[in-house]
Amino acid sequence: MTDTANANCVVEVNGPLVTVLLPDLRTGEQVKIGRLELMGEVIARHGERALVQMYEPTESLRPGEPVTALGHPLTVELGPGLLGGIFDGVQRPLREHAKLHGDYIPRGVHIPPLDRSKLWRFEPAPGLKSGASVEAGAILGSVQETQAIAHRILVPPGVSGTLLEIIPVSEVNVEAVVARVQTVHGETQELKLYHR
Amino acid sequence: MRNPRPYRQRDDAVEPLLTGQRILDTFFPLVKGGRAAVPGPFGAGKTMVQQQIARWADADIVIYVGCGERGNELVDILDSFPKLTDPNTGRSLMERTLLVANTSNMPVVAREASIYVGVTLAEYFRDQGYDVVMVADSTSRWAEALREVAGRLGQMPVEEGYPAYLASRLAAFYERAGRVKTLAGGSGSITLIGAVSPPGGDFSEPVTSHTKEIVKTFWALSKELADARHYPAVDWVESFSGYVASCSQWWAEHVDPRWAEYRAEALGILSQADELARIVNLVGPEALSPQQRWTLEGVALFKEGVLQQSALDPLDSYCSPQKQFALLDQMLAIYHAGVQLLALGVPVQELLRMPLLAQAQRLKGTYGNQQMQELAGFAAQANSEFERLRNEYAQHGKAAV
Repeated sequence: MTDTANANCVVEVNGPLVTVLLPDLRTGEQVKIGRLELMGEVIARHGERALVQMYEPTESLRPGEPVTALGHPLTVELGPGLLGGIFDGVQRPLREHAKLHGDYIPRGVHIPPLDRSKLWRFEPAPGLKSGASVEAGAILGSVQETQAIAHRILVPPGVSGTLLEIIPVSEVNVEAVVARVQTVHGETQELKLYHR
Repeated sequence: MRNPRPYRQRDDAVEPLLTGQRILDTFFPLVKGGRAAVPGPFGAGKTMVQQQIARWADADIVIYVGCGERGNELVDILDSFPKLTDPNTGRSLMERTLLVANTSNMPVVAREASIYVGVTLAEYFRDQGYDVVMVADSTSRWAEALREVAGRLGQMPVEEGYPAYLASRLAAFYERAGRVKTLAGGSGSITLIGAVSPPGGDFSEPVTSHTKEIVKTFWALSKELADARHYPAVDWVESFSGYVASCSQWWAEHVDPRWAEYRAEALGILSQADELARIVNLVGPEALSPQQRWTLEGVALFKEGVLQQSALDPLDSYCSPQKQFALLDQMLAIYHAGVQLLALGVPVQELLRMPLLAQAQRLKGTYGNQQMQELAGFAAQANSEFERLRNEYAQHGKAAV
């Protein structure tokens, strides 16, 4: 087998376990494999090769198919729209899949876990003004997600600094930027209703 | 996602997680931020116990992770949960519930991941300052997923083929439970309740035995009890709770200071049940002393009147702490009165004939949580019955002299 001839490709397929040639992968990293863009997770590394455990069946996959590294480990989308939801083990929204594809999820389909089209009424936390210093875990504002539960929008872990801007009460979707924070390193971070 | 989210510090304040289930709240309590396991063989009512917890627990958010159970069982849950209503708000239970579903035929890493997806979601809501209950059904299937992955990787199989890191993975998972001060300064908690499905009901298999070392509350379900139609089939000999001492303070402040004492006494009486039942099986009830026969009746009172609880009876499905204590108090009062009367020379047959015994066993379904007055009324009526017997036999005694 000529490993070096073709980098970033599948070398071996063994059930849900796929060996790929991609030198810079880290363990735990997410990858997309093949023309169907099946999702998987790197569970072991041997030299230039990485072992990928697939989240989806690997039938018809063959050596030589392309591999893309996504650069992040398995993450969960955290934001309004979670409550009442039904997800599978990698947070695929099962209701939306059922609506689009019926009882079985076809391979290589990606629907974001949180509904992007739904509008939420965001209310900034009282007293929070631009110029305030915020730390990870601080409450930016809230969204009344269901009658009983007010979903508090938090500054994600690892982000802290000066609040540059926060939007007033408004109807927004989860992708909208609700605040901008200048971190201690001088970068500007845009915060949305959801984070990973 | 496999790494826990940060929090300011652990908070060791204690507040019991009330589920409205007598055997759980009164006998084997769990606290908010606690760790519990529900091991039970197939058909012992694991799912029912977990659904009752998901339905009645006084938490803000419930996350149900169906991990590796059979598809048709999960469909059952997916069908039934949206139909349940939240007893406190009267609205759909789904408004505070999140389901993570992964059946046994889905790819194995997704199953391994589902537990982490669930607990990360739980941490997210905890960080907002909510009390979260996460139910993982079942950690055995999750351990099997670990085993499958480890096998493919050619890692050394240890006990029953599970990888050597099974115990530490389980511990790391349960360690994410807890009550914390959040970064925002609020307080939130995650209570983890893991179901365990030991093959063949054998509690000595690796997953159950490791889990038993990690959790502080252990609700062992028993096939024998379930077969005898004793629901919830929580075995009072195998189960344990490490939170009794810390919960007794809450009960003393909010319900009654005698809670811990009464609980211990009731368990003491129940523990004699097996031995007495064995004697009865061998030589029949006539061989027992009147005291022993009365103890056997006491056991029946506790089993029927307190431990058994019908999930389908609207008056009994949820039992408030006050009613739980009142029922326990009532059964103990009857038991004590009986012991006293026996000492006065009242024949045990006379006691067993009393219609109030059967009424006491049905109290749980006769009066709702709001009818504490009526419960007290019953207690007074029972007292006067016993008083009448006592006077009668005291006079007999005098007449004989």
